Amino acid sequence: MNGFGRRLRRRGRGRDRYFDDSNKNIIRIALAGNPNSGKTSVFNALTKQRQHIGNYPGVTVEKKTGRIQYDGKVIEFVDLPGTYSLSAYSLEEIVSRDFVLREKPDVIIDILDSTNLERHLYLLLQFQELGVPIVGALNMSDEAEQKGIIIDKQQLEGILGIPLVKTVGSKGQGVQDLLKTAVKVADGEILSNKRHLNYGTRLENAHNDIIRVLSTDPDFVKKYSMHWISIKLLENDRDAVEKVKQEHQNPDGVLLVAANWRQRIESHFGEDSEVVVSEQRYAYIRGATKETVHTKTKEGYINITEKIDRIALNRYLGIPVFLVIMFLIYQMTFTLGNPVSGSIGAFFGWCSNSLESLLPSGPLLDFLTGGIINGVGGVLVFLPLVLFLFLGLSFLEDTGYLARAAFVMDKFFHIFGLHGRSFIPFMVSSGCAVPGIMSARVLANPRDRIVTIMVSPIMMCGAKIPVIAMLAAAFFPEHAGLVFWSIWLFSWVSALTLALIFRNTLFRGGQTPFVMELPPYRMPTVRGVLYHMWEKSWEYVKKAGTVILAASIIIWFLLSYPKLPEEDATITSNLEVVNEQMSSQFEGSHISGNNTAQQELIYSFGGRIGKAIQPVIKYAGFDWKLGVSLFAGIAAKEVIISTMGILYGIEGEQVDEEASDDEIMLKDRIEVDPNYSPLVALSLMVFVMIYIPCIATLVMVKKELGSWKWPLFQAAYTLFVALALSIGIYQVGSLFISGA
Amino acid sequence: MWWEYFIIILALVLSVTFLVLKYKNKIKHPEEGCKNCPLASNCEDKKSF
Repeated sequence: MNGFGRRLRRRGRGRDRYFDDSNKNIIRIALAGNPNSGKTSVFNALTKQRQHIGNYPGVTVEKKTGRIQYDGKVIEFVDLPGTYSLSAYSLEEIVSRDFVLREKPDVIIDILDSTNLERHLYLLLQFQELGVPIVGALNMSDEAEQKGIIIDKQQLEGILGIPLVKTVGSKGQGVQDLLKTAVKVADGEILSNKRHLNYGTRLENAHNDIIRVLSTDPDFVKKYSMHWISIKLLENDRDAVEKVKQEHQNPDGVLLVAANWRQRIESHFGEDSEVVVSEQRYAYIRGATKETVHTKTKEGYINITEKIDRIALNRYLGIPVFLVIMFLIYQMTFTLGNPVSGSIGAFFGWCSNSLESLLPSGPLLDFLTGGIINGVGGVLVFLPLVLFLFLGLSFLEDTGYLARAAFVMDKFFHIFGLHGRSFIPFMVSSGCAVPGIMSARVLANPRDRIVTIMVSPIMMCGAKIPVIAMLAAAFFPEHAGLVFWSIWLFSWVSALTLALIFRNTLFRGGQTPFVMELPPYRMPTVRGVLYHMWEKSWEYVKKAGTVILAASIIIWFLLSYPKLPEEDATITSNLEVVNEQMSSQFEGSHISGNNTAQQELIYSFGGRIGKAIQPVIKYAGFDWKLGVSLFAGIAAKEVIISTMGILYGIEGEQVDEEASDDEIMLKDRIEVDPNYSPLVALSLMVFVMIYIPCIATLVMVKKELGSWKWPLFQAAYTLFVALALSIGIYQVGSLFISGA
Repeated sequence: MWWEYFIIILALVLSVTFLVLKYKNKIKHPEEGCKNCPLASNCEDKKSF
């Protein structure tokens, strides 16, 4: 790295020590563009900041800035949120246009995807209407050339009236030319934004008439671009109407003229005036690109994406295809992962045995084997399943299919009264609900946001995966993949159904439209897929070695202390001897474990909690041990597994006599426990999917919605729904299955 | 043995402290959870949280 780069990095830590804010010679350049235009990579190349570069439709709602020194001037870059237009529908759109209107940057660099110029010019036209000098970056020009797209830059510059620069943001190509051009525009050496599009006679008449009335207030004229406000009033933009209402001297007069014109336009065109305005923009863009953009026939590149999309995005086939793909991934996970899980279980069994032969019996040995090995080992046993699951998901992610899934689900979401953008928090929550809750910021409508936050933690997050996987493998060994997939599907259906209920009861209101960007399909590289798989799986291992380890220690303590008083232990022990003698007289009778250990467990802090919960959860088929595990699972869902591991570890051998002594596989232990059955497992899986989110999620909900009433409501309603469903499943199931 | 109890109590105290700090950190840096997100490699803006 050169010295300049080092200085920039230093500045990142001790902001503005290197560049003085009082410097009058600051040029402010705003970077704008659609999501997936490569804006972040251009921003990185301009500012030399290291940031993640990707192509998923953005969730930026905050402003990113970076400064450099260029030609004796300080250049400040502001990365505006990625938007498709400047309507007042989403928070990003409002943030972007308010920045341009209020902060008045010297230049806007609009990043245009050269491979999809028609769509990207729409935003540029709207920035032009704001009257700010603009430089267009024809980004991804290398990809455009690969696809045989030739752009006549000079002619397009002439049509749009702005300078254009070809760039490849990801490689930094053309970025210095872009900076040079932007500085020249800021200095007035190059004229920019000389032309506005002509909306046609009728719209232009309306437009000019509204400008005439607006211009009666000189202060308002100084503040805003009349051209822009006038067009926005024709579009009936709620933010522009509000600006006129609050800041114009004659708001009623202006709004009346605008309303009259809108009515005339609508009756003339038979369309909503907003649609007419946007159609005019697209018509202009189509004309401009027809003149300046030519595509050589390199059909193979484009057609593969189109051909796949014909099926993947098909109105009827899209959702079934998504479900089948997810089913295949889960099936592969269990087929390949289960045998390896057994070997890991054997390894931890060996660790336990080795410790037992090395250390004398006592509290420390119990702590190490019963607490740490059973707790952490119980979770790590599922690492192979997690590895294969993430292998499948990483493959889908890298091909670009998951963005299609978002598109397909968007339509589906509307049926349930949710905004299409809610898919993003849902999908993020299927990794971890904490960032999922935060990503709900993409929703501008507060009702959409609250409903999404309330239901998205129901998704199957990474922490629930081992719990569901263990139960599916233990009780449905032949169909574990199918059961896992069904529970995953159930999480979607229940989250969406609850959203529908909320939308029709507590949070009624309208919806806003949403455009989803679809990147082309790409063949993922082996390295890329393996890297993503490893990154996600390593998180699982780290969590097992940190959070789960710490939680296991606490839970082991709660389940081991206080110890049963000496005299009670003796009585229980004597009873146990009698029990053993009696059962030896009746061949085939099953000795259900170690009674002394069980009494000790019940006497412990944890056991008391479990016993206190039991009167309620018994109707769902859960015993007190599950009560303790589920209670502990509020800390983090994997803790359910580690708690069960510890419980069985403390309680002693309950494994089938034929099972290997070296194995500590929890699934083998619960499989032979008479308190469990496939029906209990099903009821438990449903309960785990829905009941109270983990503590970190609840705190994040409070942080995002600003009040404790929301996380408390969430905890209460999820517990109620989970309990009601589990009791329903168990009670109805018991009627059909004898001995459940 | 007293030292066995000492190790257990020490581990317990350290675990509680660690979990409290970990939760605080998770709320402060939610983007760490993005590593598990199925859309992580396609996400431009996880650092903007």
